[in-house]
Amino acid sequence: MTSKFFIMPIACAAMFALAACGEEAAEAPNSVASESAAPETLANGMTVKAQIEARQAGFKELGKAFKAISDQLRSGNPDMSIIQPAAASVPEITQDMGSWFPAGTGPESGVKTEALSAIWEKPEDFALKVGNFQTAAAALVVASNTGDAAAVTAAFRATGGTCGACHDNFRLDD
Amino acid sequence: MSEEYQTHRIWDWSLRLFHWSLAILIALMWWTADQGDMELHRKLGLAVLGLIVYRIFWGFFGPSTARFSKLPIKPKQILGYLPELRAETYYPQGGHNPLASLAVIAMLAAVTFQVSTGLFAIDVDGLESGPLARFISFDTGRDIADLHELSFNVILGLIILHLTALAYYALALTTDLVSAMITGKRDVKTAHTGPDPQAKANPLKVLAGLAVAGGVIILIQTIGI
Repeated sequence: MTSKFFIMPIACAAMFALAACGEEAAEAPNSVASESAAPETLANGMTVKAQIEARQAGFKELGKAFKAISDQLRSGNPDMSIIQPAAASVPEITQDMGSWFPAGTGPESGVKTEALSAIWEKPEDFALKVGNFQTAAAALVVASNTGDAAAVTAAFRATGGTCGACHDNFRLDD
Repeated sequence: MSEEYQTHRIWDWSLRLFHWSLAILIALMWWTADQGDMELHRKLGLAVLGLIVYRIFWGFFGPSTARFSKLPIKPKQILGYLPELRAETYYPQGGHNPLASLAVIAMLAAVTFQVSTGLFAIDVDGLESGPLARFISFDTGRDIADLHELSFNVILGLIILHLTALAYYALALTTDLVSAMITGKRDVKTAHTGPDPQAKANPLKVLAGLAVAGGVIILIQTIGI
């Protein structure tokens, strides 16, 4: 814990430095990027702002589903009829999460986002973290269908762990 | 000690215990939030709630130096106190001085707000939440969590103000407020003694205060999660 206390500010400083570097780098190769003609529009036809807002809405939906599950698990008498649809909604909301972060939708876009440049600097690691989450979410659905509170609790905790694992390196503060 | 001074017990033991417990708990609340240890943050938060309930109870039923109704906060008292804050004119008070009274009210209000929002706050991922968050929506809980985060800055500001005042009293007015909060004792000028020169914690009232505080915690744990 103590070491984490000291590492955190350093890590944050490093992230800010990276973010700053990312911004500088993003300005230079702008002419090479495909969206240079209309920098606001992404390859998928969405504007940068719309893309960022869409993924934020996605995460919010995810938060609502997690809250529903968390409320039940912590109540001591979990209602599976609430947990099961909430758990089932998680893969539905996040099946295309890998495409929520196209290049150009990072902090350099100027749109308010907590996504860090590290997402595009370490794409393999980021994809791995998203994949880990999706695997855990699928396991959460399986666990919720058993109706066993202990199994749901374990799977929910594991899923939450994959959220945190990604947020640690790829999202601002936390 | 000059003859016109006499030693008074201005802070009863339960008030002192409250004060230092709150100071330690606020530090721990910051620490657990910073570390993301929300399990402990929730438990300690309930302890802070209990402390606040006890202090409010004590503000009505405790000895005079703890009572809200006895705080010298009339505008005349506040304005009259300001010119005394010089070494030549200063004399130690037999309880909260007018500025300290305002600080007490501000700090209790700020911590009450902090604990109240904490009961309903929901983290950005929907994974962690206060014990009463199940009664509100994710969006409302997020808004409350934002307030919870912002208002902590008010508490930090009040702590800085508090420490600055302590330093001023120690250096400019050669008055050690910290020792008084530890021992409860202070040398007070006879002419300026408060209404109750010996603040005592009536054991039955302490028990009643603890019962009320404990009752509120149990209530939250029963209806919340």
